Amino acid sequence: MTSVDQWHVSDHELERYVNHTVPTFARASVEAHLLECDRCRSELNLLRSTAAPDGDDDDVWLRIADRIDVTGRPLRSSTTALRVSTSSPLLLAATLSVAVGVVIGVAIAAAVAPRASLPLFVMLAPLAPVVGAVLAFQTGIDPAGQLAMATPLASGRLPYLRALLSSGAALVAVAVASVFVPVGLDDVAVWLLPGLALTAFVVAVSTWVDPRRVALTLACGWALLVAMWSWGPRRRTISLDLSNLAVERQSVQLMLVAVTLGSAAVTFLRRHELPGWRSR
Amino acid sequence: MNSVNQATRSVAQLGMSRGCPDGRSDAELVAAVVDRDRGALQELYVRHEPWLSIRLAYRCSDRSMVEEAVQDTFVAVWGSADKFRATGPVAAWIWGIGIRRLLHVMRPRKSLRERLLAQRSPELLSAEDELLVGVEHGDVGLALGRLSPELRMVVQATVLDGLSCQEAGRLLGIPSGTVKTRMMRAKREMREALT
Amino acid sequence: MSGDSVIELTSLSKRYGSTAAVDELDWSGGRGVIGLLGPNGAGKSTLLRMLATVLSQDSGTIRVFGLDPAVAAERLAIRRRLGYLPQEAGLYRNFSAYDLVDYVAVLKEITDRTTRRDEVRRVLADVGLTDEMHRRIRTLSGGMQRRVALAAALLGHPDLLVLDEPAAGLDPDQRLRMRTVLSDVGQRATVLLSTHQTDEVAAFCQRVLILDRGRLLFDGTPRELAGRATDRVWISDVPEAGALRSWVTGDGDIRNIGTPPTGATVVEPTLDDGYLLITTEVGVRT
Repeated sequence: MTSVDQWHVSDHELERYVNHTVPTFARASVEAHLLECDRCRSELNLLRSTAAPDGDDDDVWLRIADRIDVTGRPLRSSTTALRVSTSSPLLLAATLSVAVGVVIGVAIAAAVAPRASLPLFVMLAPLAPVVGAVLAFQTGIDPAGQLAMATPLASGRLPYLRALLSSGAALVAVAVASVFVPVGLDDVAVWLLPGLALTAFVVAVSTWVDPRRVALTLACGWALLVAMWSWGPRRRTISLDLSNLAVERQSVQLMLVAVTLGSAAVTFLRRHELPGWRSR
Repeated sequence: MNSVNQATRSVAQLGMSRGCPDGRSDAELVAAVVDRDRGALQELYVRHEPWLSIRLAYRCSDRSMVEEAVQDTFVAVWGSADKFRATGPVAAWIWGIGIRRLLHVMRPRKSLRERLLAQRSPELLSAEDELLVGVEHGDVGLALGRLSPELRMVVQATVLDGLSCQEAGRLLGIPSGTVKTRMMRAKREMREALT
Repeated sequence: MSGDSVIELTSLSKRYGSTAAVDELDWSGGRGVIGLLGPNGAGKSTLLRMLATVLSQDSGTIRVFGLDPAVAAERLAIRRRLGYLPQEAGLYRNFSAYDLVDYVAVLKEITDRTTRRDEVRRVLADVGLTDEMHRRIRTLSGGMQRRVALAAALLGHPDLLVLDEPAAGLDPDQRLRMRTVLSDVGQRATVLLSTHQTDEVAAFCQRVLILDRGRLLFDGTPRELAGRATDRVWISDVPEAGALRSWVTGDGDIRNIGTPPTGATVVEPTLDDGYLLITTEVGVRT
């Protein structure tokens, strides 16, 4: 732009502009020129700093910095364990995809082989929270990885709170999604109680050893059990009679509740333990 | 030794390294801000805060409001740097943000209806307006100076500050219809003065 | 506890299968910057993890600040005064550096928001990442990522800093900066860092430990370490058969360590020489 090159604001005029003593018609041209010429802007900066050399500048910048130096994470104002537990995006993503995956799998099964959808649902639904809990203990799930393990908050409650949160999320996700998938299940306890019992047991076990193998064994065992109930030698047809499901019986239900509560108590008592497996 | 360390620490805390000058152009700085370069934002602040503060002070005599508007401006630059289109100088873009932030600080939020009405796109600049924008020291400036204060303020607000009629009306405290009529009168008078 | 040692190790052992990562280690110390040297697999990382209360030992005792990491309540107390930088930090790459350090600050129980913000800014400034603090970790170079982890370890002015190869991936300029920060911390706290580089140790460690196959081979000052090789280093034109180690230097001469033959040109030993002498002699003996 040749006009900018040819003409710059004189020092005198710039000074009058800074001091608010410039005549109006000149002011407009100064302002328009300043928008395009960095040389005159630097001149103005110099004039302004000599006119007002106090450290006010830093103050305003600090206030700007205070507004941009914030974490982008959710629940930023809360410092409770809740915030810290939810701060692992990987964990929530992984858990929810497992839960939703279970339901989608069952939905597909419902379309393909309607009679198998109920046993499949009863088989898989309790395993979603188990997976969620196991995921919570993996070192890779913490945003600060290994570093977090030496911090005070990670000491006791954190991994268990995470396990609680992620298995809870999985249970809710499965429950909600199952409303939309017609498996014909009347009593939610059929999958909920085994789910709670299995999860609580796995979490309690994690205070001693790496829960992955235990979880895998239990998962296979559960799947086998459900398969036997549904398609065992005593049944000639594939139809599943709910009244024959062992889980319907009150004694079994009570046992599952006992396992859940007992495991929870053990976990709570041992929450500060340092199981060697957790640092490889 | 320790006090030097402490001073260095607090200076570092502010991120103000007055030592090495930043050689990047304004446009490069804005691109760096898109990449979340905090130092680039700071450099933009150092380069543009002075003229912005002074220019806004001509439009609003309340110093604390001007300071707040300047703060809001640079926070907005941080947040919407990706919206900068290299069709003009960065300073002009910053001015556009700054004057609107000042308006926001000066006049509290209007009702929903008025805000919806204000959403209509501002008028495009006509050929005469574009001439006025390229104002240089000389005839056009003098012609501007010969206008009565009320006409001059309208010209400044709409053409030089780039405000829409509604925004100019809010700044000056007059209805937008009055802004339009005064604009037409100003253009007529300046055209007569220049010929 | 009588002594003013920050760390006390007694017959500390940790095995992985049949290998002893740490073998009956006895040591005590504290205050200042302590360098841990040793070849790969020497057990440095294992030792550091035990000191960071992240791994439990098989046998023997550890006392940090006089507290026992095996006891849950004392472990918590240790962690409140500890900063740890692991070899593989494993930071979540989608967080910004600020987000991550802020998260660790919450884990370190810095609850007040304003204090936390100032702390995060302070440590990021200390490692020189002020301008990059809002960039996502995956957009940062390897050296910068390491510095983010170091910043997190520095939160809360820990009394004990345990660093596993902190300077890995940093260029000389960044190393110098890191050394300045760590020396500063070492003025009023204990810094224990492991490294492969003897020159790093020479530059700013007040004390040096050499670990090999889980055993402590040397414990002293850098000068003492170099002093171990006094009259044991000489220059020659051809490789000497009797030397423990020989190598060609940049000038074209051969540098030898071992027992010099009569009439050999003996030279001043460096830290490197001392280190090589100690580790090679042990290798020869075992």
